[in-house]
Amino acid sequence: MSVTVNTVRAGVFLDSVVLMQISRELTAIQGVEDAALMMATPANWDILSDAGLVEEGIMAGPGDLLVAVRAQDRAIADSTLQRAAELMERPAQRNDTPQELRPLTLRSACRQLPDANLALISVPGDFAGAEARKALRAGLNVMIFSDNVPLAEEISLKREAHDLGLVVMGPDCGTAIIDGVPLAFANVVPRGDIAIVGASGTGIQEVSCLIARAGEGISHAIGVGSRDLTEAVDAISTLTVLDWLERDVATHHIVLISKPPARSVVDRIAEFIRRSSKSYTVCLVGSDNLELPDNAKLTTTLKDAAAAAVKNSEGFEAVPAVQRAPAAGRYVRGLYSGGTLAAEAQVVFLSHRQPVLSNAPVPGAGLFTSERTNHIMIDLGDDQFTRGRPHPMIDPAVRDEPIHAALSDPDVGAVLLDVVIGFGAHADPAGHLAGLLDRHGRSDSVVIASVTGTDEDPQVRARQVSVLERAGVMVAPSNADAAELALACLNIG
Amino acid sequence: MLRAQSIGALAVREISQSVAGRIAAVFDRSVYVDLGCQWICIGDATVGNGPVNLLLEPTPHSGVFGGLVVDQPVQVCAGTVHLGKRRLIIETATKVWSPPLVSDWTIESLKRGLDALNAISRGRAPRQGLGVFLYGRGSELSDTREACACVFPVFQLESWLLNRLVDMRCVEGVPESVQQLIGLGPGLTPSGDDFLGGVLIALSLVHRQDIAALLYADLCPRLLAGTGPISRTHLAAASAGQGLETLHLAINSVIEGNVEMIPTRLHHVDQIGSSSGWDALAGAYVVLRACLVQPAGLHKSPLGSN
Repeated sequence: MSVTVNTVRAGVFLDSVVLMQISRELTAIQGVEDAALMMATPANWDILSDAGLVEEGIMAGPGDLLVAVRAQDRAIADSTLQRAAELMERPAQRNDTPQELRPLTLRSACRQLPDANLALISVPGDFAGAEARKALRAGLNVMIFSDNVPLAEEISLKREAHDLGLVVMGPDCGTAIIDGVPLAFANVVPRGDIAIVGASGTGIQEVSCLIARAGEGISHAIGVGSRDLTEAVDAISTLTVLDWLERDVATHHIVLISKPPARSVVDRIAEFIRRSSKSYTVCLVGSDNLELPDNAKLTTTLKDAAAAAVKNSEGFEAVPAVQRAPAAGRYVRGLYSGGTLAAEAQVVFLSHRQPVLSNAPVPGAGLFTSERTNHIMIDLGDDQFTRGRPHPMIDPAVRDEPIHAALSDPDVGAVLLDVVIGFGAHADPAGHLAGLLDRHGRSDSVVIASVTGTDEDPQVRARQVSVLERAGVMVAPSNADAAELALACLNIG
Repeated sequence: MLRAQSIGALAVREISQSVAGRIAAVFDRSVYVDLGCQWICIGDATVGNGPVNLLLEPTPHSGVFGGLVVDQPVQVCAGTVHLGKRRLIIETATKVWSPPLVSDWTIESLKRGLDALNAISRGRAPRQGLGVFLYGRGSELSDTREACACVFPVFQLESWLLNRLVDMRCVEGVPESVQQLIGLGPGLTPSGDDFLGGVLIALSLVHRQDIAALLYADLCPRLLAGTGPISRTHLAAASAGQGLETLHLAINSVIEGNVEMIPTRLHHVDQIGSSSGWDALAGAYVVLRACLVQPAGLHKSPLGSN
C-alpha cells in the first residue's frame, strides 16, 4: 500500500529551476510513485491533495515550501524525503563554504601551487581576458573555458602568449587532456601515441573515444578555440601546439579537427605539416576542398578521422541493421548537445545529396529559421539556447521539449540524438532520455542515438547504451553511423 | 565594494529613503531584501532588468552573494545598501529602468504577432506550468496538474476580459473562479500568479489599465493568504504594468507583429525561472487575443491605436 509523507520548509525559497530538478530527481527514484516540491499555497494544497500527495494533519502557509512524496512503502518514502533534504542543502552548502579556503586571486593560487604551469579560466567572458593576461604574465599557459570573449581580446592574448612561449587554449575551450589529465568535459581514454588538436569540444571527445574503443590511446588532446583557424586569429595557438607536438616523443600521429578554415590559414598549416616528421589526419567537418602533403590524410567526418588515425580500424563496432519498415515521416530531426556532432550529421546527409537545415549550418546546408518540412539538425548547445541555462550535456532536460515536439510531428520519421558522457556531463543522460520516451508514449518516429564516451567514464558507456536500447532507441557506434542509420530508416541512402 | 548598474522604477522608490530591512531569500545570482513595505531583488546582470530589480555592475569574482544568509540585517542609507559586510553603492547616475514602450501597432500587426507566437510556442513552451495555453485547448493541453486545474478559471477569465474589452458599458465583476489561479502550480512564483501577472501587464500595454485595476483590486485581498511574498511583490509590480524586461520585449514584439524578433525574444523568455516567463506570456496572450475581437466603431480606441 502506498505511503505519503510531507516535509514543510518554512520560509525557504529555492530557485524554480532547482525546484524542478529536485522534483524530477525524486520522481525518478525506484519505488517512488509521485513527488512534488511546491509552494504551500491553498491552490497547490488542492492539486496535491487530489494527487494523493498530502499527509494527514500537515500544516503550512503560502510562503512555505512543501515537499511531498508518495512511495510504495514507508522506507522508500522516508529515504526520498531525506534525499530531498540533501538536494535542497546543496546550494546552501556552496554558499556556506568559507571562501578564504580557496585562492581568490591567481597570485595566491600560484603561491599554493608554485609548480603549476596552466591556469583554467572560467569567469564571465567580459573578465576572462584580464584574468588570462594575468596568468600569462605569471608564466602560465591558459585554458579559457569562458565564452563571449571578444575577438580582438583573443588575438591580443594569443599574440602575447606566443611571444612568451606559452599557449592560450580557447576561448570557449570545453575539453582538454594534457599528459593524461582530463580538464573540463573529457572522457577517460587510455594513454597512447595519438594527439588531437581541435577547434571543437565534442569533436575532440568523439574522436578520442572512437580511438579508445578501437584499442588505441591519446597522448594529448588540446582545444584551441573555435576561431583559432580563422584569418583574423591566424592559427596562432594551433601552430604553437603543433610545434610542441612535433617535439613530443610520446606523440606519433596528430589529428587536427576544425570547421573549414580560412584559405591563408590552410596554406600555413599545410606548410607546417609538409615540414613535419609526423603523420597527420586533418578533419575539416564540412569541407573536402584542401590540398595536403603526403604525410596527411584529409577526412570530412569525425568517424573517418578516428579510423584514419588508428592502426587497425577493424576494432570499430558494427552498425546495427535496420529491422523495421521505413518510417512514415519523411524527415529527420537531429537534436544535438554537441555542435560538431550536429555538423557531422549534416555532412553525412549532404553526402547523400539530402538537403538539410541547421541553426549552425556547414557549407552546403541551409540556415534553419522556422520551416519544419526538411531534415533539420539543431545544435542545442549553441549560445542562443544556453544563455542563462545549463548546457544540454549538463542538464539533458533542456532538450526534452524539442524531443517531445519532434516525436509528435507527423512529418518526422526519425529523431537523431547524441548522448555525451564523461567528466562534467550529466550523471545518467541515457536514463533521463529513457524516462522521457516512456512518458511520451507511442510515436511513429524511430529514435536513433550514439553515445560519445567510454566504459571507463563515470557513466559507463555500455550501461548507457543498454539503457537506451531497453527504451527502444537504436544505438549506433558513432555519431556518423547514427546519421547513416537515420537515412536508412527513411529508405534514403 | 559593489556598484549598482541599473535599478527598477519600483525599487528606486524604496532605495531613495533610509530604511532598515532583512535578507529574505538567497539565491546563487541574487538576493531578495524585505524592506518592510516592499521586497526588492538585488542580483547580478544575468537576472535582467525588472521593476523591483537592482542589478550590480559585473565583477570578475563569483559568489558575490555567498555567505549572505536569510534574516541578516540590511540597511539603506544615503545611496548605500549595507548587505552584511558588503557595501553596495547606488550613484545618482545609475540608470533607472522602466519598461520599454510599444511602438506603433495595429490590429493587423497584433494578429500577425499572435499567429507567430502561437506557431512558435507549439513544442517550445515547457510542459509544466501554463505556457500550454499559448497554443492548446482541451485535449491539446498538457496533462500536468496545474494545466488541468486552470482550464475552467482561464476560460472564465478570458470570457470576462472579452466582455470588458469590447463593451465599455460592461459592469460584470471578476468571475469567482479566477481566484483559483492565485498561488497555483509549480515554481518559486507559482504558475497561476505568473499567468495573472502577464494578464495585468498586457492590459496595461493595450492601455486598459482600468480593467487591470479592477482585476487586481479583486485579487489583492486574497493574495496574502493565497501566495508567497515573492509572488505578491511581482504581482504588485504587474498591477502597475511592469514586469521583467525580457517579458516586455517579447510581448511588445507580438503586439508590433515583429515576427522576425519573436523567436529570439522567446529564447530570453525561456530564461525566466523554470516556466515563469511562459506562464506570464500565456496570460498576456489571453488578453491580446481578446483584443482581436473588435466591435464596429472601436478601432480608434487604444486597442486599435491607428
